[in-house]
Amino acid sequence: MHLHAIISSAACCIAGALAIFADEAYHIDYHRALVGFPTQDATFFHQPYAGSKASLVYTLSNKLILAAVNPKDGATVWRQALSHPPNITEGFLRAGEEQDTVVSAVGGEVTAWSTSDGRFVWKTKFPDTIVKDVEILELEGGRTSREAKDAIILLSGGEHVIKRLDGKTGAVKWTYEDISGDSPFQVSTSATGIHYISLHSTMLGGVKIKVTSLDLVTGQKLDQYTLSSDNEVISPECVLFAGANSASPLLAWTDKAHTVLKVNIIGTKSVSTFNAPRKGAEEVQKIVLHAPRRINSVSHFLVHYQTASTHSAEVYHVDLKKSVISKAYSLPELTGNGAFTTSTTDANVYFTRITAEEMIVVSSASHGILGRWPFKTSISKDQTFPVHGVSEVVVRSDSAQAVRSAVLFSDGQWVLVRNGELVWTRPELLAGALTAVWADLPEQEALAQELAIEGHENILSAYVHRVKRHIRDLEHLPAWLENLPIRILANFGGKTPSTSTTEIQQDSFGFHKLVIIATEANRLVALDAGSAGRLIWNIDLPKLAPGFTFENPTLSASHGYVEVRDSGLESPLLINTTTGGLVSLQDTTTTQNNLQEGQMLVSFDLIDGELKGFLDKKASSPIWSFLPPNGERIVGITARPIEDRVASIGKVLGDRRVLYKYLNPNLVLVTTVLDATRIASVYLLDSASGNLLHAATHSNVDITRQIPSALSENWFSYSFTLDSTTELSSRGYQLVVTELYESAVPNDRGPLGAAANYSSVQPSSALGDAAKPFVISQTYHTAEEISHMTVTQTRQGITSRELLVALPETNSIVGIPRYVIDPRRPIGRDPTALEVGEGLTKYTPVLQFDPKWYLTHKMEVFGVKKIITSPALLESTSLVFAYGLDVFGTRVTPSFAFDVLGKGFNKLQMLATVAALGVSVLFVAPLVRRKQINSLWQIP
Amino acid sequence: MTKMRLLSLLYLPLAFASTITIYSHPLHSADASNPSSSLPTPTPLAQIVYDSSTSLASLSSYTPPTGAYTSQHLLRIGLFDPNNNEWKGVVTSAASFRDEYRKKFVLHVDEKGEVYHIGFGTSGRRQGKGRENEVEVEVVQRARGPQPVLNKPIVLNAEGKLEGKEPEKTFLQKYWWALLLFLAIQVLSSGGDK
Repeated sequence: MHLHAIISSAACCIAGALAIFADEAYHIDYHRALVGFPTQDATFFHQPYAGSKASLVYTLSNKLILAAVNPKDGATVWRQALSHPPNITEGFLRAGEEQDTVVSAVGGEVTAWSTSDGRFVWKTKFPDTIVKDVEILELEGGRTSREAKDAIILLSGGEHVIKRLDGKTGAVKWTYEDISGDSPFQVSTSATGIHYISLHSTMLGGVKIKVTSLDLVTGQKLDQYTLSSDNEVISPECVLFAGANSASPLLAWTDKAHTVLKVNIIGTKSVSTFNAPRKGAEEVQKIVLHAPRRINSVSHFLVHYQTASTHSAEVYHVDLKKSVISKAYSLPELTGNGAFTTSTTDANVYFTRITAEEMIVVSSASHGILGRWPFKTSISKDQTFPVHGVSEVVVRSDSAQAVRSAVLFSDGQWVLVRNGELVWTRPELLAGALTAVWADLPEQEALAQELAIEGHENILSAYVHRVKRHIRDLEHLPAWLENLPIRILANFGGKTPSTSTTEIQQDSFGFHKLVIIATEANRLVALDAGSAGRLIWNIDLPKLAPGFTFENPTLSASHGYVEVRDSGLESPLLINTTTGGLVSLQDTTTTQNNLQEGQMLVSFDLIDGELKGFLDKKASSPIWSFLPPNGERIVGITARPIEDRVASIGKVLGDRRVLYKYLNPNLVLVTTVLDATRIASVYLLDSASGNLLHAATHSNVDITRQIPSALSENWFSYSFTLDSTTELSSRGYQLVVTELYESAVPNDRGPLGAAANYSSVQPSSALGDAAKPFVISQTYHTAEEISHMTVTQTRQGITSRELLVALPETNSIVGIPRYVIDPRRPIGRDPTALEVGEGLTKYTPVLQFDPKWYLTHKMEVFGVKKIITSPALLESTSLVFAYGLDVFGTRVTPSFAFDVLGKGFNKLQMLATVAALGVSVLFVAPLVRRKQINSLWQIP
Repeated sequence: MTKMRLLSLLYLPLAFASTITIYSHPLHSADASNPSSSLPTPTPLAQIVYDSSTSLASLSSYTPPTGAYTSQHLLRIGLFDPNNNEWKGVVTSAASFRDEYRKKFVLHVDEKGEVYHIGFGTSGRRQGKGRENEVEVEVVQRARGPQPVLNKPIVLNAEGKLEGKEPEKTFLQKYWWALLLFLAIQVLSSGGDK
């Protein structure tokens, strides 16, 4: 044990050189800069500046992230997380033609961003209101202007108002107030004026559409008329389209059963009625109207009818002079779901039809197919289908030369297909990660199981078992020998052998672990942490549990399968970790209850604000319960990780005496807040007996901020924000670290001594208070708020630990070495020689995050919700995976990579040196021998 | 930080003392032959008079639980409100109440002096100490969390200088002796030449 202690203290000393090396950055770590699902109305191709040859895809996602994505490689050119009130999920994004700004609106904020680099241009805030629509005023008095184009916004608050904002500054030019009390729906601009569309609820439950025309320059009301839509429209969802920025703005609605389509050209009172196609017994489930957005394009539009199993479309032409809408042609019905996109070149309008198998381009003028590209690689597996997309089409001499479409597929992948070829995929479903868990590769687990069998048998049978296992392993020998030359060559080339896309590479360092992620879209995804987060499989959970939506799934992985549980789900779903297939309960090896004689399992849960421990899940009465005083609210519960290896039971001091760690596997840290008096408290409980081991309170805490906490080994830490109105001498963010020891006196093991067994439930005959730890803590100020913290894990726990913290202000993750936040740092004096030998430095009240600690170095990891860690096979290394919005993974070596050769190690040079030495020995040996013989024959 | 003192009731100033009753609530049915029978109701185990301001407490009454003190049986020890059937506390084995152990009740007290959680532990009896108190009581105050130890602020006077620091000596004031020595050596050595 002492040896371990010395190794770990030596490991502490090395840790001073900790940093990410330049040649390791982007090799050991991977980062997916995600945005979330792009929304249909706020995704478009747009040129970043007038006259630019290339265009970018701009999108505002369902996570309210505004992003510009390069259509060539799918890289995020820039991203902005739009600030919004928590209950707002809807946002708007518009770009004027040939403008170098995009205008976004979320909640009560309208902001303009530079298109090429995402820099902030202007922002106008409208407190206590919600933006309902934004349009860019393309035409000013019948002609387009070169100046920054103004924006028209529709605000809903106490009163519904329409404002015109200056395109350069965001200043309000005029305001029109709607006092009728109708619910605002949309604004639409045309060459003649601005049309404000509101919905007027009638007594009988129907909704009438009211159109108010406003003057462009003054905002005065010019005209108002009401369309008698109350027979069909009963809710705002029935209004399909209110023409965005075309020369002939349209207003289209349908009834609830999707049987009829009614279209009105805004500005006229006539309504054209069309019946939805009915073939067979299937009902139309969805109608989508696609119309070009450009002002100079012809007035053609496409109506997409989707039934449960097929989809079809009809194209209509608008005659502006006669104000007549007529059907031009129909596109044939195809099975499955499809998506239609609209693109324009000059005045021509082209529609791209994307199905699961192919993409077809047609012109709006006639039904002839201009181009058809079957997908070369199967893009959609497992019955996925395109949901919506945007396209760019190149047409020369009446045939489509090229088409590229950024399409969101139903499996949550955002894909760019160019002429049927897959260019890139972005796994946007990972932006909605709810929970994630590490899973070992099954081979590793099988070996561990075999070793466990050998460990528990007597020597002879264990030996026989091992010999048998080795003979069994011989069957892999030919394949291994076959691969040997390739591996050796790859080693000398400095490259790792490339992995095939389907199989998971087994490696001897244990870096290839799977991360299983459950997402908001009810999908389960497996990533390979060892090969830059490659997606292994992606399955639809409701397909495995029909009719069930997973609100708050919990995952646990063991024995080659992952268990998905959710409250309300009768039996957990078991899923094979390597294939993503459903495993039936019979196929799995029965989970052994690894409780030993005399042990019992106590589980605990938070019920009605009270932490309760249960002996058996079925039993209704708790065996212990903890309720914090004065109505404090429990905000966090952190338990010691189940696998938390501790190599050394003591901490070696400078004079070789030992402070023994208080190692209780049942520790639970409860954090609470009291809203009325701004107090935050932490309680350390023993979860077996419910005894309270330690309690501390902090006053003047900003209880609206998070209080993250982490618990490992014999120490815990938590962080909170001090209230900015406090009278204290220091304000900001504090990080508290607390260590627990068996006794305050070195070389003393406390009342329990070296007893092997201890139960906090059974009586103890030790003299003195056995359950009580000796507690030391220290508090530091941090420069930034910490939103989440966790501790690294290694295989045997010999390596010193790192506290990983997520910093939301700088979008980064920092690994704080454990020795920096040692609560035994001497305060107000320099450390003595013995303390220096122990690695302690003088206490400083401010903990500066060393730039070398930043695991994310140059990357900006947005919205980290949780960081999970797992040991690799190498003792030095811990695997790290962070999720939330972005996905980030890396490997950390808190005590330096002492058990693996670095990239800088030149194997060729080493071999050459050995060879050169060997050759020189061959040459020198005869010389030396001759000299020795000569010296023997010489007469002294 | 927390003090533990054991005193009998006599020494307690009665004016500040509060009384609390600790209940025991068995987790096994009273009738061992019929495990499905309902659990017995909580019964008072000990009555404790405590003073949170001085962290003093004493046992005013103690009735050990009935039944077999086997390690399989679990007892819940805690606070019980008979009015709304609310219960909070810890669990221990019935064997803890055997004679060979000393029992200890821990009262966790908040700043207002109210008990919010109960702890229970046992320890062995010391040899040759005779008949000790069988039951101990400890009052544990909730501690204030650690505060950062800030550096002392630098105080400047009206001129923007550090207060209390003597003005720095000039070069002459500091090294007059060295100059004197140098001159003396020069004078003496030149005198020696003659």
